[in-house]
Amino acid sequence: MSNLAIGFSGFLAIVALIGLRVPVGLALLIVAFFGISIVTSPGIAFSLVRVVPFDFVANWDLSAIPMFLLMGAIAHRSGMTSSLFDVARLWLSGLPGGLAVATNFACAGFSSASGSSLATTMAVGRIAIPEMRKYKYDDGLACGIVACGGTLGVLIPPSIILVIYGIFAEVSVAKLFIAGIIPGLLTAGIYTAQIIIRCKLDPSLAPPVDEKPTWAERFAALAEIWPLPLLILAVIGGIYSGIATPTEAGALGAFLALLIALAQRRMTLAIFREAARESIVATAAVFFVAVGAVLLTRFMAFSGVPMYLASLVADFGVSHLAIILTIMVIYLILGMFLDPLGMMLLTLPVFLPLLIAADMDLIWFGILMVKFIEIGLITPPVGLNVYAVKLMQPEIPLQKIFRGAVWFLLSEVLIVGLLIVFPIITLWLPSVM
Amino acid sequence: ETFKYSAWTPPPAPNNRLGTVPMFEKITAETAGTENEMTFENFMGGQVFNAFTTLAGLRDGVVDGGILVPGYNSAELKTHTTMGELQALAKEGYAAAGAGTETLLLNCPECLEEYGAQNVMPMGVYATAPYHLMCNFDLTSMDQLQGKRSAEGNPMFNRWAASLGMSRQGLPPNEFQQALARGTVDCVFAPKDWLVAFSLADVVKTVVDDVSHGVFPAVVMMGVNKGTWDGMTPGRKEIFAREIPQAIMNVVDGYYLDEVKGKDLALANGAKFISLGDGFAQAWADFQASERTEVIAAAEARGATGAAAAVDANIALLAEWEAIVEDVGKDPVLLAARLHERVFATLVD
Amino acid sequence: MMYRVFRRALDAAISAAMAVAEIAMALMMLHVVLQIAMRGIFRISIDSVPEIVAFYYMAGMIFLSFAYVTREDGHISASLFTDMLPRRANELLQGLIFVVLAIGMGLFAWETLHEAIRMTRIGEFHQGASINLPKWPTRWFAPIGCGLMALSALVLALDKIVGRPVGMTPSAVTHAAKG
Ligand code: NA
Ligand code: NA
Repeated sequence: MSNLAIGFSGFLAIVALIGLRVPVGLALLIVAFFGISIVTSPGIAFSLVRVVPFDFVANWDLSAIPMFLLMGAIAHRSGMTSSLFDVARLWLSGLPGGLAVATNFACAGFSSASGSSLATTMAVGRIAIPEMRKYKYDDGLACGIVACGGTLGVLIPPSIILVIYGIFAEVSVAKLFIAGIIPGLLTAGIYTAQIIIRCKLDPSLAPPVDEKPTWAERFAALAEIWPLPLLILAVIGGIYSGIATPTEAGALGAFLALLIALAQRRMTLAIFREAARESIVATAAVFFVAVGAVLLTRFMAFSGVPMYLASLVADFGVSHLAIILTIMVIYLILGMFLDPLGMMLLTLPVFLPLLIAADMDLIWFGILMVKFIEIGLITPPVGLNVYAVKLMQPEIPLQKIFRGAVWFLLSEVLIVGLLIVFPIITLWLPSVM
Repeated sequence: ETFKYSAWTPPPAPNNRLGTVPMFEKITAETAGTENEMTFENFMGGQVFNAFTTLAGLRDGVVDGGILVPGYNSAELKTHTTMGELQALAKEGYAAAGAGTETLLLNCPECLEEYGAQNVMPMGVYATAPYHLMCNFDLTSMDQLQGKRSAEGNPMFNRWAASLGMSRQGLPPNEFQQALARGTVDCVFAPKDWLVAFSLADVVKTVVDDVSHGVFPAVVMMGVNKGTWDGMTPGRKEIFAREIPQAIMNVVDGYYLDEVKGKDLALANGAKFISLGDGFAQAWADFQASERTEVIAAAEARGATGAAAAVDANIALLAEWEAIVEDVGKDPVLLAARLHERVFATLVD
Repeated sequence: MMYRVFRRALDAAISAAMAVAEIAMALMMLHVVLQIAMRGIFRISIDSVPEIVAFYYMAGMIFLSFAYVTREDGHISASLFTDMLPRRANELLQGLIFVVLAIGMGLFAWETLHEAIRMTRIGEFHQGASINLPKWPTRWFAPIGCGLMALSALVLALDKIVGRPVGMTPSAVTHAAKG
């Protein structure tokens, strides 16, 4: 068997192991370890096991993930979010699937504070999913919107992925950030349309409200939950005023949530410990999978997969459209198994020269690439955003969350189609600023 | 036999674009069909190892070659880390690369011992473009720097920023653009090629052009696993010893080319390249004069007790290499020939 | 009898490791906020905060909670096909998977232990702006965390293969059942 064939049979082995209920992280580790042993040597596999996991876990950029999760857990457990449900009921009464729409825009808003998809999903999901479930929303819809809306985290600035892409492609990070705004809002808009249409057609997804609340009632309800928007605005404001970097924003958010809860006399050491423990467990479980995905990326690199993929793009890529579509298919397949950042580091060195040779607009491509690789966060079998939701709502079966996300994947087809056919959607804003 | 190489820098960085990539292509073409046939697998952009893990990857032979900056493994490479701290005294890249390579390979037995303990053979160093002070506001006088926040990497800049009355933030360069854009920091110390490479031209309003703060003089472009090196035929070793000095000087040359691109982009974006005048130049000169002592003290604090001799050797060689550059000009081919003759010819015996 | 003592000790060790992880999380939050405040209010920078967060808090929090996550059945897995198996067959399959998990994490613990010993001998540190931050102590989080996780998986494997919790007092069983 060639190295390449070994590389691709690794994917089949992962599917088989996950099907046997092997923990996902373990399945990835087993395949990565034996794969590396075969294509290089067992000694090299042992060396990578020694070095890579610690280095991946001991990461400053990723510290925003547990911190934002802690923020959500404190807000939820201290009761800060308990009236949210009343507010949404009164304010969104006329809108089919109103809570899901609100969650969608909470993801978009939170994305302007968070540079990572996982952090966005975790912070919003911890607060929003219990509220939607309280209101008898369909589990698939409630979880799907959080898993998918979280991917706005890297499309709407700030964005860790776009910064690294900017360094690799030598294009302006400021322009990339601005270019992500309209596609991000377009995504939120199309998600919204889809939620409203689906809930209109099938009211069982989101029970409609028949009340006709007065404005006085609406504002009275709002008075109960003011700390939550204040908290989120403070975090966003902290970043835009330069008080905190996007990485530091998570800790700032968690600390402010703690202060608010203390001020409201709703915080005890026991509650804090529960919130911390819950956040740690979810973070560690996601990282266990991610460590496996990172080692799998090394296996792919040593198997010669990147060079093979580059040759595919070169063979099929007779036009810009053909190059983009080939790359999209590649990312869809790799994204089933790898983490977005690892996938980007694996492929960009071989794709970029081809894109430059084809005279492709690298800002346009950067935004498309973010779309392509972020879809991997919600596709089975390895979808980290879906896993994050599962960890926050352990009683909901994984399959149900993946199925709930499929609807939004269909929206993504439309969104990506629009971005490919009309590059101006992406390129207009950076051209005028 | 394929030689696996790892770099965490992205493909467009000069060390890849003008260093290893063309060098590997040239060696592959020249040796094809001969007894010294060599092919390469080049993992760029952190595909397999990052700045912290490359040394372990080389140590265990996961890859055969890789880029190393000693400061990321400062416990393992205590003495060579010290050479990196001599930035304030390394005024320009060609001489710094020549002197740094000659010091490392011929005048710093402790450095070679440290690398040897990690199972690595370092094949010289290259140097970056000169670092400059860049700010996100309209800087006109030195007094404005009082109380401002700066970001940088090398500990030397901590001392320099403090002497200017600035506080410092330890941020990785990929966070510089955002930190400057939002005012988390007011200024950074960076080479001008970062205006493009790290998008600093988006946000920098002023670059202090008249005084440069030295080049970073200690990037090992090619650390080689000892087993790999010992297993090479003499012919292959000779090819490496001939091509690496050329690659080193080409990379230095590339940084100066990219420096011009960075300046052009920043000017096009409306940045000002200014002179802060004699007071600033004098402050820098005074700072430079104190650096030898500071660097040796820092080395001793981290347990590199034999560093003083290597520091003095490096300082003497910097003067020698500045004279060589004066003599032959900033020509990468001629300088590579001198580097080969003085250092690399002695490696293969 | 010996096994019962071992199990109690293991449970205590896992809980202790988790308590350290909780402390790491709280310190991460406070340390970063302190950095934001000092920089914003006093224009003072605290040295090496990103490195302390990464090496001490992140690594400590994640590795030291691995065993707890395992004990509480917190790892991500999909029960798509296995639900169709008879109950006992499913249990035996789970037992086998826990054996593999124990072997895998044992290997991780063994390899990272060697790295921890090596870095301790070297006295690994991070070169900060004005301090040399010791990094070697944080290397021990990985072998301790992975080792505890391996033992935890081994105990779970035995439970599944035998078909009931082994060597636990009744109160410990209810505690484990409640999660
Ligand atoms: Na964002
Ligand atoms: Na996926």
